[in-house]
Amino acid sequence: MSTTRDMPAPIVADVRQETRQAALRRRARETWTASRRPLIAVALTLVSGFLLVVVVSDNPVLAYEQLFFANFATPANVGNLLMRATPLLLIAVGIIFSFRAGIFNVGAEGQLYVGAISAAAVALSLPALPAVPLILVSMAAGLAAGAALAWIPGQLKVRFNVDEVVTTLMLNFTAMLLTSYLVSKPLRDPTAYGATSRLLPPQSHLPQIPGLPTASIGFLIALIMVPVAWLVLFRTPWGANLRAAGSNVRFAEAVGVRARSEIIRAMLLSGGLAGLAGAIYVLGTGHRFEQNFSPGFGLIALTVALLARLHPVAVLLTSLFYAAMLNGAAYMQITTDVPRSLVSLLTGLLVVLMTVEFRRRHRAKVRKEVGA
Amino acid sequence: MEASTAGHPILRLQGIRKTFGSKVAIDAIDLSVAAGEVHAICGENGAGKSTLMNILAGIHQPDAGTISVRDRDVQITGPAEASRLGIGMVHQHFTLVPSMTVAENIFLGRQPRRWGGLVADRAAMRRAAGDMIARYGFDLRPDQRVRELTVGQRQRVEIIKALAFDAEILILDEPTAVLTPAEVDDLMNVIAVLRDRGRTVLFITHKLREVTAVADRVTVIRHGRSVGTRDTAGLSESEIADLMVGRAVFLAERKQVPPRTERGDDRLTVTGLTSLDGRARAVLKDVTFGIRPGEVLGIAGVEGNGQTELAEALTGLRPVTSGRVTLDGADITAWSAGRRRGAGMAFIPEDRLDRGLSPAMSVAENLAASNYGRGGLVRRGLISQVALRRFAADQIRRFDIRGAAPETPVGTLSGGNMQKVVLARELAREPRVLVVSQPTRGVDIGASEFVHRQILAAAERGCAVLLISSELSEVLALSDRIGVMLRGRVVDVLDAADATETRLGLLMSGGRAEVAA
Repeated sequence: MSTTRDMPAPIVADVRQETRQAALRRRARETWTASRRPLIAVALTLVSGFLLVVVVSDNPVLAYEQLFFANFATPANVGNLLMRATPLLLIAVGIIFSFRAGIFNVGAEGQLYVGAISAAAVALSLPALPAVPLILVSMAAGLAAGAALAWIPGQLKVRFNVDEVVTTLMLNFTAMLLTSYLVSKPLRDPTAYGATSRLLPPQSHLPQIPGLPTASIGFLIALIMVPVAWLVLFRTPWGANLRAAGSNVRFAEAVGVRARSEIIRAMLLSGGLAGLAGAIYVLGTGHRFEQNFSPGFGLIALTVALLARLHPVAVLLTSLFYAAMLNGAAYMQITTDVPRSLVSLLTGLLVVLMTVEFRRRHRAKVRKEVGA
Repeated sequence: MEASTAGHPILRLQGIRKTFGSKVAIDAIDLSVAAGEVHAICGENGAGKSTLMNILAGIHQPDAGTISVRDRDVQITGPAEASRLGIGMVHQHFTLVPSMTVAENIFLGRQPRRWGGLVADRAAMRRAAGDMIARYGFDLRPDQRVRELTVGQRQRVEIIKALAFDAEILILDEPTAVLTPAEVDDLMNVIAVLRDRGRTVLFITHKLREVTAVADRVTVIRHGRSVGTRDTAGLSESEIADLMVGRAVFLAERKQVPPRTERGDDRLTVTGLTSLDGRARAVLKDVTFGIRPGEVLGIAGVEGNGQTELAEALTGLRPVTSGRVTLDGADITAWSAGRRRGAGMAFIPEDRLDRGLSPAMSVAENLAASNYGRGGLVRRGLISQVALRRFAADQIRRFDIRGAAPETPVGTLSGGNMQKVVLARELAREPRVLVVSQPTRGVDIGASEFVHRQILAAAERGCAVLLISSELSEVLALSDRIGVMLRGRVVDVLDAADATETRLGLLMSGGRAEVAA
């Protein structure tokens, strides 16, 4: 950097290239400020949850141990944990894209369902295909179905300014009633009890991760999405445009970003990832489509994404945290006298605590503005 | 030097100092305000005006110095104490509840009560509000909901709110920043009325015209120090400007330009441009003009006569019903905003927080938006962080954007520095056509000067500039030709040599009379 300045500037801010160390320090500081509040919310949830367990249980410590640490007790348990984390992670990454683009896709559950049933239908109707092409085609079908379902509210938003929260939420019911019909009639396994499809051809089943029974390589696919999503969002012009559209549409338009296309693209991506999550669940875990396969992955993924503050790296941690709770609840119920519904309580509490945080922040900001 | 015409001081500050951490906001302020005068406080952004006012309003406590009100030393411990001392404040950003009525807002938190204080006495409240509105002759009704009011009317509600509890000293914090020129005129009348009713008005501004128009005296502060108090009678705007900036200021002057005929064909032409709004009213009617390379075409006019829509239509942000826009002979009427930018069009919008910037994103990202294609910012599809930082740091230095590092969120900068970010981004594109709207609104003198120089420099590099501004002085100083907009039409285009303030004012105000009719 030259020592001479070409402009007479009395109080120029220090804009030297920052050193690698300074940059690291800044990053660390930013990460800490961003994650402090969610961490506090999690801690408060766990503490108040524990107090609750103390009240209802004879052995509260064991219950909490089962809830969180039994997940790591055996390879099978770890496999189960990853199996549950997979759809959460994939869906949450998609939700991050939609929220960052300023469109609130809360229809992931429906997109998950149409993705799952499309993958199942394709795998069932092409039993002669060898493994790799069959898996790829099925996954593509799931992805396309989820994207197609999300495309509808995107278009409604862009063309007629219809509130996407309403339309995506309503489409959840449409999608689930549709899959319910399909699995009760055309795809139904006549030998099975209840609404399940026939078993998929064996070559369409995703390989397991070696050493971790029940965890399929679907988790690895979800895992790859984390750095990819981060790169796309924060290191490509498209990501920058998408975030610009999400943070200030009128600004984005003025600098030449086509905000409408960004919204459509974000919805396609978001729905596509939810659909892919459905496909991976069917191919890797269920091996057939069951109408009640999801414990609400789509909605839980929403909290997963929000708790991660819409950051694609943090979302890996929050999806594992939620998966651990979902998974650990079973062990806790088996081993102790605490019912698994405790987890619903904890997740609800966490949502409440996060919103409390948010409002408090908001007020503090207002106070600062008035005082400034 | 105290001016001799001042009466007995009602408010006196001596050696006020205030620091925030290591930052000295106010170093040494002396101020003496006479009862019944309009006293302007003038200074650049960041000079300490707002901190000073917050001290008077009881929001901050000074670290040193004394404040006396009516010859009594006081401690203003909080807003309630300020109000008890008779100091009322109208903040720059309004603190009204839009869904409530005027009367409810005036008496918010202090409604007259009855039945042992259980129930608000709404009738008494309405009556009291009506009395106050009548006393100051404001065009308000107690039952109007605030959300239905114009910005100027809302400000009057704020003023009444401050006066409702016998504020003798009324502080107005940059009251004209949010007003249209017509509303500014109204406010000046309001201030005159307040003075006639014996109130003392402290008026914070960095607009020199307003100082000379309304204030009796002016105190200038610079870098947290008061540098002088003067009578405004006989004081020129440039004298105040010199005091504020601490050096002689280049108040933008018209450049020496070659005659229009020597500059070749029009770079931008607009023919018969018409645009309808959502209710099918024409907001642009048959607008026609051309701009040659290196030429600045100014558009004057009272705000709301189609200037916003003109800028949007030219930049591809508003659909047009009929007419044609060409750039270098190519018909761009149907082009998107992005394609127009690609062809060399740049746009500095009137409201930097609305269209100009994304406040939550960093300075670097705001500078780079739509510039990713140039300067090697993107390598193999990914944005190079090193290049992005260097690009941003370069722009920060070239445009003297103060208080900014590349990763600073742009919303934390001051108005003038935010405007420089917009300017830097748009000029980094080396535009062939620059559409610039209200470039110095809410920007202090030092930064305004800089912005003006940059616009003229762009024109000298051969850029065709359309300058839309409601500040007549700005249009007159920078333009080669000046058009006047009135109700969606460009009614006349004058050569700068023939344009005088009176002549333009006449063209503009013809519209005002018609609108009122």
